[in-house]
Amino acid sequence: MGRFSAFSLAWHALSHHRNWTRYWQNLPLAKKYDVLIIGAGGHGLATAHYLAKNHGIANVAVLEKGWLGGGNIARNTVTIRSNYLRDESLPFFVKSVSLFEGLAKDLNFNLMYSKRSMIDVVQTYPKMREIRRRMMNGYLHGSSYSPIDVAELRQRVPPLTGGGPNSRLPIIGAMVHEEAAVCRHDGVAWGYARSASSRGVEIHQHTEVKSLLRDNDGTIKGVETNRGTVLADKVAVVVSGHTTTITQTAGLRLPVKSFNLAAFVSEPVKPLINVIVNCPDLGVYLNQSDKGELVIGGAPDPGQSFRRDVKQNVFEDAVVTMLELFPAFRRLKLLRQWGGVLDIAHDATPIISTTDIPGLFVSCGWWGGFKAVPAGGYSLAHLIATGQPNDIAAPFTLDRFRHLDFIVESGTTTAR
Amino acid sequence: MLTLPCPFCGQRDETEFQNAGPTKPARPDADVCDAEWIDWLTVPVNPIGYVAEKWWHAKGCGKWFTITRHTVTHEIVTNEPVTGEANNKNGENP
Repeated sequence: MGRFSAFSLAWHALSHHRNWTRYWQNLPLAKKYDVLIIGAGGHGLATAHYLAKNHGIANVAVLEKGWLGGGNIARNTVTIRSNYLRDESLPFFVKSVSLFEGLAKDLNFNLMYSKRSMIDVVQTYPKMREIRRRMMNGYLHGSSYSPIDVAELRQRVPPLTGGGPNSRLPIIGAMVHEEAAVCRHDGVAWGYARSASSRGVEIHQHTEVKSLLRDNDGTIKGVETNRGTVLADKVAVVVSGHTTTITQTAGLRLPVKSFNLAAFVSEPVKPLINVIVNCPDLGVYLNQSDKGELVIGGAPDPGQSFRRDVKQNVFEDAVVTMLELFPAFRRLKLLRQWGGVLDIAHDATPIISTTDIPGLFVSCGWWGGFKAVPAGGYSLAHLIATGQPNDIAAPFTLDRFRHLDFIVESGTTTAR
Repeated sequence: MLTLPCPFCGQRDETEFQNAGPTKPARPDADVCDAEWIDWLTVPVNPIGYVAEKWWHAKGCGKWFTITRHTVTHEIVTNEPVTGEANNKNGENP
């Protein structure tokens, strides 16, 4: 596979760019692999990449029901950050942010990575206390989170004209997370797929896993797909909101629930916000994409849902709360809207773990898992290759439920 | 937006209600083994299909009730009030 460089760009210009190789190969589905990864999304493809690159395990197939990168990696608000609360979470997300920073070079793929700070707008004193606690623990783990006053906030975010002293919820302060970044979400999936494929990993799209197959002794044997049976000694389920749908076919019960979370994109406008703005007290967050569109995230639907849609009241709530702080946006047209199915454990902390079924691995409970893609794949690959979790993912095993030793995290969701 | 059938007020907008998650099976006896206790305590149902769930009419009459809702179509098929201690006088989530 050709490397992308200024030289290769000039070389291919001579042949009018007609001879570039494909990002990933389409090979026939074999009967048996060393490792099967269910789900060609961010986490699944990252796992395949790190399995091949760090552990030399390349006899791997990634099975995808739909198309590569068509799930939650195509449905997020591209925020990369590490401003978490707990000692268990912080090192993991700090690692993920640092992996993201060098990812374009690692994958030889332009991810349009843009480090641009996230500013949390604080409007209530309980949130201020919670966020100051996160600030102090962040300092211990190398995640910056610094307070700024309202004047500096308004200077850094010019359209933020609402939330004055006479408003319903006056702004009382703000917190800046400098490491926060955005990047091209599709590029992450394509970059990992290209890199994994070049190392020998097979990616099979439109290959739906119907059920997990177990041997007589209870260990995992392979999977049943719409294209026949595929065998493997190790199977990893990396399918976000549909994790329980897959694992219940092998009788495995997991402590996660699935919800629908919506986001919207406005029409493109001139550059006016160069940071990610998060308003946790209102439940809305936004950033401006390179195209100029405002990417706006809202709150999840109440109750479990596998429906990727946007309810009118959720949409209205997000817009109304955004207009409280950004009244100038009232004339913006919203172009697109979408929902995605996310799963979460009740302690709001992810699960990267072996299971009661030998050979079956799960990576789930990510809620918004985009920021965790590199560290999640890195850690799951380590777990699959060695059977032991690495240091940063050791707290995220299913054992914490067995011992009722929960990591109750407040930094998981931006909106609540 | 959903319209939920409150047993006291009738059909009302979803925004008046608070979701309290899927209902749990009956609490196991004290002599249950650890694995079964942990399973009861931590594992919710998460079906693509019908789920029985509790709602609280928080911005209305305060009634707790259970409905069965489809997690893809949002179809609501049954409607029965929560009985016994679950629907205590203070309107608190038990």
